[in-house]
Amino acid sequence: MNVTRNDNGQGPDADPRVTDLLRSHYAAPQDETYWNGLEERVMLGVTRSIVRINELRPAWWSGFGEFRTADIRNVGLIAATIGLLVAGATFVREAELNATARAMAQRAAVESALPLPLEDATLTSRARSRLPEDAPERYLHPLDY
Amino acid sequence: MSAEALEERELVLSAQAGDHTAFAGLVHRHQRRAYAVARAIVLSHDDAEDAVQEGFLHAFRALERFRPEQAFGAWLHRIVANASLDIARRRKVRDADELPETLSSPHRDPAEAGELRARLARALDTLGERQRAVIVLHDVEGYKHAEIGSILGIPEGTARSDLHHARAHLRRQLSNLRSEK
Repeated sequence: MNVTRNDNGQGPDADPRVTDLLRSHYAAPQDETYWNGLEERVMLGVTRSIVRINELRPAWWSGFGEFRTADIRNVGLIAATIGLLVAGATFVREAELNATARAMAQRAAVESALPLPLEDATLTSRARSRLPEDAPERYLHPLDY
Repeated sequence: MSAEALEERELVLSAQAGDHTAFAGLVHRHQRRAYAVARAIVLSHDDAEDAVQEGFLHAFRALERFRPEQAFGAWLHRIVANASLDIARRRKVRDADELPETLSSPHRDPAEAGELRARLARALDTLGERQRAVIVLHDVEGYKHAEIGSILGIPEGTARSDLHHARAHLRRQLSNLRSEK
């Protein structure tokens, strides 16, 4: 493949015999079958490279294929258990909050009511005899009893 | 644009679109030149073949970055030259402890075993890697200085100067051979 687009190894600083030696030393294979074989090897390398790249970059859905039925069942059970625990905890928490709110509302309602004039309250002696001794306190502070 | 250039452009565009047959067409067109470039840089036929294969593989992987308005050959030769330089460096490290005689062993040439060939091989061994590549690309493959500069990634003036020094070096090394003849 001596394309003579330059001084063809004949310049003033060149030695034609050295150039001839070099051309003999670096002569490319002339056999056409060699080049066909090289082309095949190059394309084989390219094909292998494509296969390798595809192996390294699997499709996004390929991960699902790795799940087995047992794995899916186990994952489902764990997820369901976690779901139940979360729901239970939420329910208990809600119940506590509701109870607290109810108690606070009751206390507020009682505390905001006007006190009855005790001096005006009269009980019949029959009724008084049936009342326990701490009846006035229970009347005044019903939530403490 | 010549018919050949248009055909090559079509091959490049098809290869970029994923057509492997088109890429095989590019390999078929350019493998001899690619081999010549690689052979100028590495020391043996086998290494040149490896460099050609690596070069085409790199080119295939980088094909989507190639702009079709460029010259595919020049782009490819630069890649092959880089692959060859890489192989040459790896070979140098690997052969560091081996005998110098094992460095030049290109085959497929009937004159390989001859004294003439052995002396040339020794003389080439004493040349720097870049100077050897420059003289082979210029005197054997017929590349111009600017093309050599582009392939090897060096300024044109450096290629010109390397050629001058390489020629002078080989003349000196083989001078006794010539006087013997």
